[in-house]
Amino acid sequence: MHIDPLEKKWIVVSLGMTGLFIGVILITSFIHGINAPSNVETIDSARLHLNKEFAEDNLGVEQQPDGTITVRMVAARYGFFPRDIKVPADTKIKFRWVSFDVLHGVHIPMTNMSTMILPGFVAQVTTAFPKPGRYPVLCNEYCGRGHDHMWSNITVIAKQHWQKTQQDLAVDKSKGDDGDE
Amino acid sequence: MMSPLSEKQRQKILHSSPKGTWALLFMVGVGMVIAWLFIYFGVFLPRGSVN
Repeated sequence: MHIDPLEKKWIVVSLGMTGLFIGVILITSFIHGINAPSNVETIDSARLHLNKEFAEDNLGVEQQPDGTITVRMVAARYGFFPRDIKVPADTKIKFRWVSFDVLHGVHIPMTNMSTMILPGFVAQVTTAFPKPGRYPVLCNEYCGRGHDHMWSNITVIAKQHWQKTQQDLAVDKSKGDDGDE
Repeated sequence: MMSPLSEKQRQKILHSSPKGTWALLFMVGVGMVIAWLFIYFGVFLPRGSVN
């Protein structure tokens, strides 16, 4: 097959750029420990309310003893529940998303957080938010007539403010416990 | 109106190195690499990796 010499040069440049980009992605992924989310875990979407982990009282933000954060969220037509959550900045956050009904997607603009939520599976994604601020949480998979109204909020709090908030909560809780006795 | 080229000038152009194409190739290649590196290192990675 005859290829014009100039066409060959363009092909070489295009393949060279592609190779460079793939190489940079592989090297930085290795250095920063980045890998594609790979957790596979099934769940009965019709019985979420009977599931201990995703029962209504257990949804939202939970701080683990090692300082990491776990967020459990339910996507259902047409909203993400809880509707408002607060998480600290610059902290590893493990999101565990489940769908109550149909296929949903979750996207937090201005961050890299984005995943599909398939009914029957737990979508687990670990990330961190470097910039404090208030972000919308949007559904990006068409899920029905109310899809464009399906959203909630996430507030990312600066780490030092978060620690103070947690300390205040602990003090309030201990006062409450004392009052109960 | 352009003056017609002599046969000698025409042959010279046809057989010389295509400098304009090299310049275009260089500009497109370098531009795309710079833009990609900016998006990857300047926008994507600072937003936090997703695992």
